[in-house]
Amino acid sequence: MSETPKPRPAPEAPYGVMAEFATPAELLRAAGRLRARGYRNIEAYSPFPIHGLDAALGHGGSKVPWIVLGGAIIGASSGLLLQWWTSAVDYPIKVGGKPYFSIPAFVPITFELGVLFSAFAALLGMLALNQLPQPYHPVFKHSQFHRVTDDRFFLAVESEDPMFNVERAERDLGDAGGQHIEVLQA
Amino acid sequence: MSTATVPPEPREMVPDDPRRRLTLVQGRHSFADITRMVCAPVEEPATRGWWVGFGIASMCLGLFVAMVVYLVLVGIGIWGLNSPQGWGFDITNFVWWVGIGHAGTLISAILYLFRQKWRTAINRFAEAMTIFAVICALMFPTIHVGRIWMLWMALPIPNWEAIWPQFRSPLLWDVFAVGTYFTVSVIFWYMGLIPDLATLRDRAKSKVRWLVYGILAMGWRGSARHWANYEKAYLILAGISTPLVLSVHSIVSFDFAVSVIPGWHTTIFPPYFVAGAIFSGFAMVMTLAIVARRAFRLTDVITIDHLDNMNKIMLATGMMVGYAYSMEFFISWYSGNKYEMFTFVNRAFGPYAWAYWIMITCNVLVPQIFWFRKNRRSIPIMFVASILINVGMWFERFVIIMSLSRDFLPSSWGYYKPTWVEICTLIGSLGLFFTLFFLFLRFLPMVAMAEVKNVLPQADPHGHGEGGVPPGEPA
Amino acid sequence: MEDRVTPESKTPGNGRAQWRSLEELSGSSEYREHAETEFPDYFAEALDLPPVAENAALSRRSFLGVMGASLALTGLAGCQRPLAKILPYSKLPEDLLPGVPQSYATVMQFRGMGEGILVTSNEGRPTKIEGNPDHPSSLGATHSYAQASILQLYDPDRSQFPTEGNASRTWEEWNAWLTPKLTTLRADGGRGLAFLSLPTASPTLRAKRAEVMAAFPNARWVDYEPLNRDNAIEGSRLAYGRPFRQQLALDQAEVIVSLDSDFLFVEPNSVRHARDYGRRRRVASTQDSMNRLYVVETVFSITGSMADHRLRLAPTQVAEVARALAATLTGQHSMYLGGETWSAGTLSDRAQVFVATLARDLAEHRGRSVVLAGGSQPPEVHALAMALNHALGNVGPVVRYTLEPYPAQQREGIAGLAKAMDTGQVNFLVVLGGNPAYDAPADIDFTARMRKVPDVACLSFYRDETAEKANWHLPETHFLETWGDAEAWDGTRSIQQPLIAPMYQGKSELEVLSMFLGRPLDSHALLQEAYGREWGVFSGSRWDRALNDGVLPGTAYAEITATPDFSSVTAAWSRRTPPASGGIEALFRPDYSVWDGRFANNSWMQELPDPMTKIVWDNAALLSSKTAESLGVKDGDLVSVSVANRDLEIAACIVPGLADGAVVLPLGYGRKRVGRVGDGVGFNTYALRTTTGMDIAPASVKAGAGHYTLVRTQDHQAIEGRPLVREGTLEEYRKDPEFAREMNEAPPPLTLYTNKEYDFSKPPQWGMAIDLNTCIGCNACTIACQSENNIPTVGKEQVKKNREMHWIRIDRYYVGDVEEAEAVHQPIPCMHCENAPCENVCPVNATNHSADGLNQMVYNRCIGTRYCNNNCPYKVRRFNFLAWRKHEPEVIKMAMNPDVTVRMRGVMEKCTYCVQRINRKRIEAKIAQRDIQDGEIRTACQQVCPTEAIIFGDLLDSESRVAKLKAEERSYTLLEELNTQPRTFFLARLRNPNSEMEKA
Repeated sequence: MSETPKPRPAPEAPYGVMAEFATPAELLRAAGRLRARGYRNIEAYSPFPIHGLDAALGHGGSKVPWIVLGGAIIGASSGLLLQWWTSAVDYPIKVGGKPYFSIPAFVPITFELGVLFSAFAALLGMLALNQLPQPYHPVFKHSQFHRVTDDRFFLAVESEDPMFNVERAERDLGDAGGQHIEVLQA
Repeated sequence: MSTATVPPEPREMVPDDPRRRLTLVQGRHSFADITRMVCAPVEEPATRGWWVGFGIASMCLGLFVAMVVYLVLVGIGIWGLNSPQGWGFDITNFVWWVGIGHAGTLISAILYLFRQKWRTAINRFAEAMTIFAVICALMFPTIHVGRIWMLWMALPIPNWEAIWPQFRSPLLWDVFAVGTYFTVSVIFWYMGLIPDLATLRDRAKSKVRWLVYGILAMGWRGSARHWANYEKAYLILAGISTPLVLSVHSIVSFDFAVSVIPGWHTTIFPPYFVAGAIFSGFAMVMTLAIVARRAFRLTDVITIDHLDNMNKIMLATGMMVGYAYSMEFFISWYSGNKYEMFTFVNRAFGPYAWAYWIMITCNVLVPQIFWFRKNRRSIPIMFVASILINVGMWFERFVIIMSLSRDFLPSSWGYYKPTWVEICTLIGSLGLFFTLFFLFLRFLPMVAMAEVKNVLPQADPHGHGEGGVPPGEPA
Repeated sequence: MEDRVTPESKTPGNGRAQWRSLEELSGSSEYREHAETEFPDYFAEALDLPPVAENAALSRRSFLGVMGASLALTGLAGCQRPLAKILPYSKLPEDLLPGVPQSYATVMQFRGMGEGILVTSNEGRPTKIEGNPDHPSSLGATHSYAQASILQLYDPDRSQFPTEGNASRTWEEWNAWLTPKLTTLRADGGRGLAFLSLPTASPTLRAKRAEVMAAFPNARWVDYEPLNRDNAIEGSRLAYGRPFRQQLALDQAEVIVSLDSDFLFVEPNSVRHARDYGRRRRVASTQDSMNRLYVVETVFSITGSMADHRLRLAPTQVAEVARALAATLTGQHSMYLGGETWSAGTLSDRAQVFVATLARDLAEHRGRSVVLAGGSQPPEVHALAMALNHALGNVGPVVRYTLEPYPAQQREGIAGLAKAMDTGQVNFLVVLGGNPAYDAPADIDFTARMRKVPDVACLSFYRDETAEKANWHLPETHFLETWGDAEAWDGTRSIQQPLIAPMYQGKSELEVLSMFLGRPLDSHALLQEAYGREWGVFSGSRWDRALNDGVLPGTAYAEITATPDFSSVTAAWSRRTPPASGGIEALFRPDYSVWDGRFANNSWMQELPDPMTKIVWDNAALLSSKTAESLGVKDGDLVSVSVANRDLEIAACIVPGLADGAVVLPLGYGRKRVGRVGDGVGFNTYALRTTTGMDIAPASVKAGAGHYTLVRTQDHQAIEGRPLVREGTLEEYRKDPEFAREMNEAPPPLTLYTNKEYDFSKPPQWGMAIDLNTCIGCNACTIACQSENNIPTVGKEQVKKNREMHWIRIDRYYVGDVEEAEAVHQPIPCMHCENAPCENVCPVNATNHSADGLNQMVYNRCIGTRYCNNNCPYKVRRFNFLAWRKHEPEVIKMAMNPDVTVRMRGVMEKCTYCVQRINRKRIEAKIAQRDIQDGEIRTACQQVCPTEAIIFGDLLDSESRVAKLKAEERSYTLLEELNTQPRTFFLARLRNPNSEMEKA
């Protein structure tokens, strides 16, 4: 995919090295290999989630659930507050012989707002944690990367990795069975 | 080495044997095949069939617009409504559409939680169907007041009257429930679309497509981290959508259950409405799936086994609504309440008996054919059945609302018959639905590629090939 | 409506077309413009369900369209006074505060008697008519006609300027035409001059008529009213040799016998009768007694619906009951009836039992009973009734006699006039009021006779059937536009004072007669002149007092005591030919809505459901189910009724409890020249009414071709065994006063809501009692409400769709089997539930509760979901499905009550307990720093009710009437099991049957 190259900090500081794999299994094995070699900042790319990959890459669990919990609490409570304040505080009106603050009748909206807010929290949380939207990213530079959403699997060793070294990375990825091993300019 | 992966023979299909998992995709298909298959309808020029369908649908949409304009100009009087019968086609259509709108999220969410992998074949356009059905549904409460410019008063916005909405009203609950349902469905659907949008972006030939899909995909790269958060978020959305689906149609049923009118004031309504919603939703998915898989050569992805499964669900939910119908009668008799008793006898033998028996036939008798495997797997039979069921479910709501025509005081009894305007509005709403649906088929992948690839045999890293390596284990 | 298959519609000539030609004469473009601007909305209606061909009534939308056009017509064609400038306030009249309505006492003439009314005027616009409490014929109540006559005042179809032929003229031109004619007439004492007028209760007018006759001794004066009292007067002549008028004190009667006498509505003085009857019907405790009402009748009248014992018989059979009654009383109860012997004719077993029991009851209640003969019964029945009253000693305590002030024999009169016109003895006919071309007996063919008269002048309110055949038409004033006076039934006199200057160029009969006397004066001068003459000298103070009170004290007729001539009565009866058995008898009677047709152009009355049949915008041939069966006729089928070789194709309406072998034909419909509302509505039954059969005539009925859509406001007639109207006998009530409440087992009210911040414990808390025991179902409340609350009418087409707008409706259920059905009435206003189901479901707080317990509508907040009406168990809410008022002409707006919002399309509305009246009194009380007194606030429906069946007040004030009624054992609320806690409650109905009747 042809992205207009942006000004980079320094050519001698690449983003990392990335190789292509044909099957999920190869990818998983390669990831395991590199990790065993001591690499820490490696990232895999695939058309679909691959089970066990997170563990192989040593990624921790997602923080999305906590964000959603927050959303749910805010949503539900604001729902109840809205109904209480409008019906019982701001402008109490006698309706159907019911109390101004008719809790049983206020349950549905409270619940719905809880759900609404958590849904937003889930989407926005996911995007935020993935730093999306993000139009430009170095990995898009890889000649084969456009197949990552089709049928190809990629593994990248990032330059932040303490033991990063272009030659070593290229060799290790090659050993792991990677094809099209390319250096990604940041 | 491109497409180095040669998928194995599909396992023999024993779909009725619970111990064996049925094949999700038929034939030997590589990941690339899936991509090609699913992207084809979006990337190739539109077929004549699409144009014809889209043309008809958009004409009906025009009819809908015309009817609404007429209504807004002249008033509710152009409908057949009257004093005992304040609601008719309007709310019938509303509940019907909302009901249809339930299968989508249900299939996506509940089947996802139950790890029903076969959902992947249909969840995408089931969700689309949900969204479009809910759009149609929302139309009716909007127009049924006639003076639609007054509607804002139902929203909790401060206004010069300083009066707020009345939060005890089931109609207001509807506003929030259906509104939430719509929003969440859109979020759920969009989230599912992101990876596939990325696929379209990466396959884009023209700059425009690349730009549009690129923006929509938001720079998705499919990194492991992406997938981790994505799957978690998706799981949670599925988790909250499930109670949402149940709550929404329960709340819709409150429109009736919370009232005092005999035939409306019934505690069985929430579960019975939910079952009915699933019932009609699946029927609609079925109707659409049958056409789509044929038109877009997706028979391998949406397999006969999937349809068979859906038929089983329709049989089950059909029996549930059947049970609800009989239980209503039992309770009305058991309550000893003369008004209740009258209402239900009147339902079956009164002026609207014809509607009642159409409902029974379509919703209770027709699904019984699915006891037989032959019928469950016969495309023509299930196609006709699915349509009949939707007709029946429309009449279920109609019959319930017609309870109004004969309530407590015989002096105010009346009879409601729709005018041609109402009938055209109903047809028009179908136009709205199909117009949106045709656009969806044309511009978005109707099957969730990423998910289908995920359930291909070769997608399982531990399943085959050189065999997977336990994570972290040095070679 | 032209394509309806009736003889009338076949007759050539279209009045509308001529009306238009007038426009072309005066060459107006406005009319066409208006027609164009008014008609576009037709498409809305055209697109509605296709109107059934036989639907006679114009739908309201179209008729308003034309009405609008008619305004243009008024604007240019004649009226020099533009509508907008009718009430100029160059300087504010004394003691008139803008926004504060004023009330004036005046009098309305109807049925040949004056009915005292108080008229509310807002900034000079009369907007509401109420009864005058000081007036003996009203006592504060009115009937529906008085209520509706306010709309008549603002009817845009009123005749607005004199016309000669079809050309518009001025009064000056009329005088110019008249003066030479009068000089020639005076020459030979007015030979060939004939006046045809309505009988009047105005002494001044009668004097003026006498003056005219004195000036033209050879002229001929004839009174004619289609619904006249000839039978009663003739009966009195039979019994007493003199024309007597009965003054009834019904509250003194223990036993009331009605021989086809609808004394609660149709007979004159009905409002007073209803009040007195109601007094003896009201029961507060088990000690109280009730009167007993026996009704023998053909039609199912509202009087019949109140009967404790009702006997349905063909019209002539009713007379036989009278005969049998006389026979039994003289025979078994040794009653002296001139010593004559009476032999009972042939009666059915049921009738015989009825008569026997009735006779016993009468004999036991000598001096405390009354026998009433209906206006449609022949003179001998009236005579016998009078004789019986005398013999029973009822004359004095219950019945008193005064001399009939105007005892002209109208049937003979009109017949004689017709003959004279035929033989050319009349060359100048002056019709003063009345509409003979429409309502004269059919065999006279008055229209044809008119052509033989060279000059016909017609003073009438509309340019009606008569006016448009006359070569001179003069517009008549409304009674609220002119000065006059009128006597109540008992003679008490009231001054009729105008509340508004004549809106168009109308003049009253008094003024027109003054022209014939050569000195045209206005009515005010004429009246003061008359009273000056009467009082010796005109006294301003006395005059003002009379105007203020609305009555002149001490003007009642002198009572007359006399003994009947029994022999002449018996003689009359011996002359009477016994009725031919078998065959069908036609009975003509006034219509509950349009009376004799004079209210045909009044949309309120047209849309007012008939109290019994609930039909609107139509009349129909009423048949009993058995008769219909024998004819093979279903409800709504067209039947052809023929009387004296005259045929009429008319829709049949099957009425439970109607007499077999009879067809009842309500008069007053099928008008051809009255206005946009009334033209072509219903069937003209006058076509069958001949001089020999004015009331009862042998008829033949056969099934016709086709079906006709009769529209009812109540489609389902049976009560389905539901405890809605709770009814018991006096006996049951005495045994078990709580019977009504026990008729429904209500579970203990449960609630989820315990933490309620308010409990309606702060007075006042409004409530309404409706006593089903005294409600006679006369519809007065419905019209009063319509007038008070600016309620629109919607037209036949929309009522057919159950979209009528009445805020208080009267449900009428038939009880018992179809043949011998009894009927019950139940007025249903809003129940103002404390736990109002409608409020719970409104998403926008548009309907909610006030601190004093009113369920109130916020119109500008309503978005029109109709959910509230769906959830109303009583279905009292009304929805503006269309913009009912969109085409309302300016002039109709003058009838509006400025205190009540006019609702727009898409808004829900309903009874407010007349909140505008409550607030007005509350403000007054606040200013005066006092509490609101009980009875100070009277809702429109309560105010008008002839029997005081509706009581409104504060439920927390233990002294208030409503609270006392609430405490009564008979009180119950509708559907209490729903725990809606209604504020409107009912008092169970009691019947007082004669136990011996059951035994027999």
